[in-house]
Amino acid sequence: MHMITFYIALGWLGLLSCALLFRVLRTHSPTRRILAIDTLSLLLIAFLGILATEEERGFPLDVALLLVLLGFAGTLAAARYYGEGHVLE
Amino acid sequence: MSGVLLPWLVDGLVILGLVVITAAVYGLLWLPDAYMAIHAASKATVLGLCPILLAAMLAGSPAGIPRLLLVTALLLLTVPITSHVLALAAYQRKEPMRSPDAVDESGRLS
Repeated sequence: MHMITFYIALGWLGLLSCALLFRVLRTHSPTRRILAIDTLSLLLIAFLGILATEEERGFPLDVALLLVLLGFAGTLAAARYYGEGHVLE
Repeated sequence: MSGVLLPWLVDGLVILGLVVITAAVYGLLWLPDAYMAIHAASKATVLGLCPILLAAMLAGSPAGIPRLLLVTALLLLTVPITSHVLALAAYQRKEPMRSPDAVDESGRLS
């Protein structure tokens, strides 16, 4: 991967994350807020995947693996708490 | 031959993924109601992440390939569940549909 594409891709992902962060702060709908936070974690996984193309040891992938599972559990808990008022029975 | 072409292929895959992710974020920012935002974000983000993870498989170290396969499989498994539970929560809390030609067949939202 060429270095200029690498830096442009990382910068573009940062811009998208800033836009999503403003959406999280400005929206009125809790569903859209949970969804934007979930998408932020997915953008972070894309960031780590692009980092892993230039990294020899591949340690960003451990972080990405953890982030998938934590994002899943967190979004599921937040959505159930919003929809039904409790997380577990 | 492949040593010359590989960086361009990785560039193309990353740019393809970024274009699809940009479409997802655009939909999440500007679509009028939460159901349409769920529809845009959950499908397009995963479809944009897949080329980026494929590029990491091609350009990164071979030790990362099992982890990348695991990340891709977990994404394809968990994101549909998340979006389904989110849409169910929005329906249970009676969030209104705001698109001009939306049809609510259950009659519960309006």
